[in-house]
Amino acid sequence: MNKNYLLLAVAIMLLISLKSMAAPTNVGNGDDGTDLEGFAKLESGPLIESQLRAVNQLRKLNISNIKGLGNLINEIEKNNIYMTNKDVSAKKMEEMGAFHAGLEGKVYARTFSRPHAPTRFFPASLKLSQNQLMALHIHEGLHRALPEEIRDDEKKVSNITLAIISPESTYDQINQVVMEVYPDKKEQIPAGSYTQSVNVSKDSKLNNPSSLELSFRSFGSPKQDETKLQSLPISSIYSISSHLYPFGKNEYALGTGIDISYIKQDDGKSYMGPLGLSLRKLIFTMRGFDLETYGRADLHTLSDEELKNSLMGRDIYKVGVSLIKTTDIVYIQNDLEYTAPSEVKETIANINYTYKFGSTVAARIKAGGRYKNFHAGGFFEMLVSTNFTVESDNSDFGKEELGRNRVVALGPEIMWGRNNFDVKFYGRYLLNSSKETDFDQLGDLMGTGVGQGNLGLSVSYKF
Amino acid sequence: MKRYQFWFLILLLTILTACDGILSEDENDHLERNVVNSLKGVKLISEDILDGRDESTFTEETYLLNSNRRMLLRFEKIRDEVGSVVIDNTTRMFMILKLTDGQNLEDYFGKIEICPLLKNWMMLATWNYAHPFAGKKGKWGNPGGDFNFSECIGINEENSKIDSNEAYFDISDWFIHNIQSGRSNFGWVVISEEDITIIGDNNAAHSPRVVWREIF
Repeated sequence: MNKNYLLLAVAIMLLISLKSMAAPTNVGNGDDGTDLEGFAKLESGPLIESQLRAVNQLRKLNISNIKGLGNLINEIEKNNIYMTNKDVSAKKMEEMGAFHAGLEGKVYARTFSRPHAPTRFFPASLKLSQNQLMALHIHEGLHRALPEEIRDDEKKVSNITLAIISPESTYDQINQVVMEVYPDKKEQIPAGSYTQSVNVSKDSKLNNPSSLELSFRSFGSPKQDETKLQSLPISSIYSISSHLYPFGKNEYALGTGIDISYIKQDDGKSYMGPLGLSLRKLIFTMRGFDLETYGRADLHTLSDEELKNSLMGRDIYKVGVSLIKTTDIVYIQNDLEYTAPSEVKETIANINYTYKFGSTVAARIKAGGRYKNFHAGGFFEMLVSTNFTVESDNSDFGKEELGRNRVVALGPEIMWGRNNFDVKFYGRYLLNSSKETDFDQLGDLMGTGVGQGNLGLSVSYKF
Repeated sequence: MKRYQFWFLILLLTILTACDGILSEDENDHLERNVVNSLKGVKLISEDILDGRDESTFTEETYLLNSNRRMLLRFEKIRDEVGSVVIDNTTRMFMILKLTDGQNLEDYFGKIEICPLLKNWMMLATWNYAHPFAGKKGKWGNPGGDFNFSECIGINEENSKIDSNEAYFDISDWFIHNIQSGRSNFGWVVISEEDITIIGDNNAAHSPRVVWREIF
């Protein structure tokens, strides 16, 4: 097996040396039709089998998510393969342009360096092993799939081919080679595609969009004034979250999520919290940026009466967009989120109060550094909520309009991840607010929480 | 003769019976025309209770008051109940607070006062906050409730009922100026420097109440 790879590597290196001697190489140019005298489209046989094996191998390596290789699978999978009736000598082909020949001077295949071009195989290729044929398919496919500025560069194409076909090759190794062949590490300029393929950055959540998470948050931070307790004296929240993305391909994954929460109070009381339902979808990926949208509803249909009959009993409906950029050393995420107005009723000693929350807009920046399996950073967020009112229908309390509130918060985020498992420690601290507003007054238990902040720990498995 | 004596006796008994009803009426017995029980809008605030939702601060049978425990009272929807009554020199509006048995009302003359509150409050009120929202806007100007000492009213000794431990406070002026004129009803705070136990809003018969009644 390794011998075959070695042979292929030598063959490819020979091509590279040929390129330096026979300058310049324009794949497909100079085609006088000599090699096209008689050819037939293949529907089965070893070449088709190796084509399928190449596609499977590329899928296993998650090759679509490597910058510049987003169309490679499409180029190979949907490529029409033709077999010529006779072999052509390397010498003849040398006069014609690029070709891929062995040490014996035999020509195996020829393609044009443009998207969707067909590939012609020569009878000599039938003597190659399946692994060699796979490599040939990949090499030809690269000529068609890579960005225009490098797809004619035989050396670069060969380097990438070697990285892919190498035994024990990994996603990271291939990605590293690809990044090296880009002159200024530009993001991919798509060379064309059969479908509107989305290139998800290699660290995008959509690579492993589904997750199962257990989390714990403690609201132990002191209140600004203990006699100013606005809602229940909630001390902690436990939640289990299952977010599954069963719809669409990875790049177009549409997921649904369910969050079930359990709440504990300072005095030891505990009860069921909100039920969270969510949807998340990638809108597009461009130049390494992921733009994702999401919608979320935290409903109190399953909550205990004690929680429903409090400031925290409001149903939350929010939508948002996340703009994410991840590089090898840093990650940056901007979130914009809108929470719709809603209200909740609380009865205290036979007096009914209705709390009306205005809409809330949140702007959040998350950023941090990456080192091996560690991510360390934090977030900064600003929340502005419109008019908050309290009114009573059966007392002379009447109505109090308490105006809009501003809350500024920040917090750390440290994550360790390996083999799809993540352990994350995070926190939220109220930095500044208008009218001494606590998180209580936002009424978003599953989001900002309560009091002056919280510390959290989560363990998740992504798949 | 005997016949006349019999009818005379009957007539005499009738007159005496009628006169008895008139003569036995005490000059201090008044006709209560309207009663508003405060079965809601009663709230205890204490320096020692931090949680406005503490269940011992509302719907209680009794409330112990002293220098760091006060009672907030708002007769909810009082305008709807008795807002149109006529108040003059002979018909007044009183607040009645009943002390629990074992206490002597006369001992508290001059020691209990009710003071009209100057700030809106919720049942979430605490010693420091009228309500927990909007930061300083929800905070009492003075811990224990915002009121003017000059507007506080003491027990009306003349109209109070010593036997039944019912302390009467004449709130007629406040009623005219705040309720009948359509201003806000922020209610009252009951203050006492000495320990005193008042029957609370969980007692339908003797909870704090407002009566409109004639005095003679």
